[in-house]
Amino acid sequence: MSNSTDTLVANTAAPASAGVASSSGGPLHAFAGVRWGDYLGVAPFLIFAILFLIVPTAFLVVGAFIGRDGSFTFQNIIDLGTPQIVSSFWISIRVSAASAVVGAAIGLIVALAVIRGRLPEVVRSTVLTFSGVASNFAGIPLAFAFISTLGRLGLVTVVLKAAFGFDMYRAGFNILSFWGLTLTYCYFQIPLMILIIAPAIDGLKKEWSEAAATLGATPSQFWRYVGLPVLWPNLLGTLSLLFANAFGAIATAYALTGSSLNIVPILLYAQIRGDVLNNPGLGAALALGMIVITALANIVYLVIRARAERWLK
Amino acid sequence: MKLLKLLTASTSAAVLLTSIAPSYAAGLDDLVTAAQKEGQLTVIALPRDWCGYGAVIDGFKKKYTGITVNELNPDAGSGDEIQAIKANQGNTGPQAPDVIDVGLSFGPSAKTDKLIQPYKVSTWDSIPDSAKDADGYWYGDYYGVLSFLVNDDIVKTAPKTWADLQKPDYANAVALSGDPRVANQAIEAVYAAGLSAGGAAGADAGTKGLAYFAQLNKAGNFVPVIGKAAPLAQGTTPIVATWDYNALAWRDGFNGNPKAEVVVPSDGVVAGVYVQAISAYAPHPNAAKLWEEYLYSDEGQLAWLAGYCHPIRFNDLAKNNKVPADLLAKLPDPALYAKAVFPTLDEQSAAAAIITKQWDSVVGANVK
Amino acid sequence: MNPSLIAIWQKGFFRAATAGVVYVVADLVVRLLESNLDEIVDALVATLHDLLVVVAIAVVVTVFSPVIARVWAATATFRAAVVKVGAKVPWPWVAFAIGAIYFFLPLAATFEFSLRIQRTGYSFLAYTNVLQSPAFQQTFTYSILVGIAAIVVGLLIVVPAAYFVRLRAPQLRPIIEFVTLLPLIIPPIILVFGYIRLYSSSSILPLTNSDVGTNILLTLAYVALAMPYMYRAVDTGLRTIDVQTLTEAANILGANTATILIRVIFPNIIVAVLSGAFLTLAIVIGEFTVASLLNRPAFGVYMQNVGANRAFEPAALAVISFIITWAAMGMIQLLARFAPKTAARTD
Repeated sequence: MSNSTDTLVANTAAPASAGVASSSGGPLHAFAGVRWGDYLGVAPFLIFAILFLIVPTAFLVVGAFIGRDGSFTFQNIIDLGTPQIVSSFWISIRVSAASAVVGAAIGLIVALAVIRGRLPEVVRSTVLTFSGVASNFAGIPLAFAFISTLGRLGLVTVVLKAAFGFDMYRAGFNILSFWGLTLTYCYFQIPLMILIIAPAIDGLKKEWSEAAATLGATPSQFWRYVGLPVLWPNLLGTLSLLFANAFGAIATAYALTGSSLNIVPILLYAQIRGDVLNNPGLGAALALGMIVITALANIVYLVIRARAERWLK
Repeated sequence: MKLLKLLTASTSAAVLLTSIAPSYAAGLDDLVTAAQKEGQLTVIALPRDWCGYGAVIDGFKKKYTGITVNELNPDAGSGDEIQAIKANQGNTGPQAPDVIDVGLSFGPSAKTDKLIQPYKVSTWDSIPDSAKDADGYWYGDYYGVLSFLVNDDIVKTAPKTWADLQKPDYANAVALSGDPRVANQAIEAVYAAGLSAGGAAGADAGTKGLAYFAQLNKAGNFVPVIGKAAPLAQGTTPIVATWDYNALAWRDGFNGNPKAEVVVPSDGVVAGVYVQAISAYAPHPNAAKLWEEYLYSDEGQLAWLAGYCHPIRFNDLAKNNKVPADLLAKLPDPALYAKAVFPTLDEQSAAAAIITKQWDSVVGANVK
Repeated sequence: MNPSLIAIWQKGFFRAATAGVVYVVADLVVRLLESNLDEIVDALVATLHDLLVVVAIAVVVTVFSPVIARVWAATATFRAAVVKVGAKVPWPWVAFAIGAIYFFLPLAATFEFSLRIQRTGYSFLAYTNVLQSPAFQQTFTYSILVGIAAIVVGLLIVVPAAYFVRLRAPQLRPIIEFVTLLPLIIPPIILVFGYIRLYSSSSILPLTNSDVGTNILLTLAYVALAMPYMYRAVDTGLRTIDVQTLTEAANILGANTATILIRVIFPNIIVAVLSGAFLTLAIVIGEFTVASLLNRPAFGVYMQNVGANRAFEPAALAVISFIITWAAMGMIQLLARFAPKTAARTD
């Protein structure tokens, strides 16, 4: 499952800053001046959030620090250092980083082409709609689609062999490999990038490119000195978001490679299914590791986003 | 005089029989009622294509109305099934399995770990002694031999032996049908490869099997993906080492597209027995016992035979002429089964210990 | 020494050095991405080796830079011609076309693969097999029902909260928005892991003990997963109607809060609610991780199962799944046209 946050986060950033301005006296200040009757409406939401979002996660986080005998221990965290687990974190980070960078680069190019390339308006709306659909297309159908395209009997493989005599697999390509998985992940990373960077590209005021042209700048100079520096914080932030998105994804990898690619979600999946680590506390520690990484990446995104908002106001 | 003796004998025999039969039938009826009151049976790791389990489950549901069958995790291996029992101790919900169907070597360890409960089905005596636990904790249900399912559209010449698989013709082609760290099928495949490489029965075959697969991986012939019907047809794993009943069922399912053939390697024919057991923490113990009765009745055993599995009571059924001729004709050549090696419990557990622990370090096959 | 020559050498050196460093860093990154932990040392050694080669090349280029500079100057007209031709190429169209191919090709290939079930010619047999199979019908129905339940529960939770926050308790907004961000930060697999641990037989709320309980748990998990989108949709809908005036008018007419919510607010935000609902449905239909870990007979689990056992049916399922997702998204776009555009109060 992918996360498409597009304008959600745009809405979050602005009101958050408005809310913060009024409640400067710490978190509990938020509750001052609110009548108790109003809580009734918000209560189901908060109760649901506590019972089914916060407490389960907290339970796992706490469970990571509980040893086999029930006492508080750091042993589980230390046990994360086994070669199998470290290499699974490493390969997860690699796949997420690769798909985030490639997805961001290609997504940026396509978004720039569609929004600033003076293409017909219908192209822009089609691309944005399609991006909304494609970013939710992750998982099992995506894996089947790529096997049908680039698998050993896939359309592209067969056509290349029939028309150009080029055997992709003999040349060393394999859809079931690191780069094959990265290529597959890009299918929902690129649309996500397009969705999130589109408002930022829209925010590149026309006056700026006109001013640059007046001063004699070529398009490439405009991008190098004005456009990209302005977009840079957004790019970094979205990169972080794409990283978190890929890190938590499991269904696509599972459908594509089964359990042969030892990324962290698959290891956690096997642990939940069958306690392959023989240590429930270690499973919780694994989950804690995942939360820390995705939370960090998302926080980086939010912080950079908030600071980048300044340019676009 | 003789006539009178005969009359008394037959009458007393008839009385004896009729007195036994109702009590036997009454016992089964009680079990049926109790099972229907529980209303559900939870099974695990039973793909519908495996030994025709789909037809077996449907037959059970039709015969004993009121019992729903909850099919958990058809992709699970034997190790996963044991873990499912362990993880759900005390859980009476639908995630706790009632019965398990695991490889032979998993039976005794489950008994030692107190994960299963004893039960002797009514046809207990017709199960060979070598395939059951004397106390009734686990009992063999069916067997088959390891074979290769080959996608003829992709592989030009099908391999005939384990040694053939090492040839460069089969680059990026060979796969196991399970994870050798948990699945019995994959562990036995490694064992068979070890036997073909000259290993002695037991731990030695395990070590030689790992060496065989390390070599296969280094040569680039091994695909570290679990091979099933779909990857085979899609070309990802054109050669899959799997039980003959699976290979035959999948071949049938293809309906000619792609063309596939089943080859039993001549240099290492390993037969594998699977065993049934009832979980010690089964939420529906009576339904579980009724299920076992059904499986070991003639009806259940023949249903497995229709799925290309040799039921454990095969010899008994054949002796009583209960096996339909058309079913017999669809099975592979009996001569192959004559050559088959049935690893003993000790040999299997010794080999499995080595294979499961050392697979990662010796073979190191991961998606690169 | 001729100062211009020194300048040329300096320029040559810096350009060669920059190019070399860029190459080495890119190569290092690619090597690190492809290596396992034990191969990292090899990767670093190989990079060092590359560095030496690059230094050698940089020295050679620096020495020959006057020659290179003269050759470069001589090609000025050729370069100008290339730039002129390059300016004529519609690069945006090229980028768009490449993107379109990348996204369209897998869909076309899947469709083509799904038609190949008969050896001779194309046929829709895979689709008929799938649509007629009882497992498909059961799991699809199950997922639809769970989706509807998730939508209803989600609305019951989100609409009152969004309404009260907007109307009377804007100070709570940061907390609510933080909560709606949580499902995006916590991967679904961790959520379901927490549920299994927390709501198992030995806890206060033993939901995993029964079929009904596990179904409830699944529904609530989907409510959590879809909550960010549901909240955003409802909030957008509330933003475009004048909640304050409507509430005051209804109050004057004697309505209590529940009546206001059900009979006044809800009908006015129905379009926004429907788009949130379709998004939830799209998420629920394809979801695999949570359903498989809770052992529920959902559509995603069925797809994974078919994917392992049948060759051509998975491709048919992928196409069907994509059509369903596209239809849901298309409905959202369509509904967006009917959304009330008036915003009496902007805040």
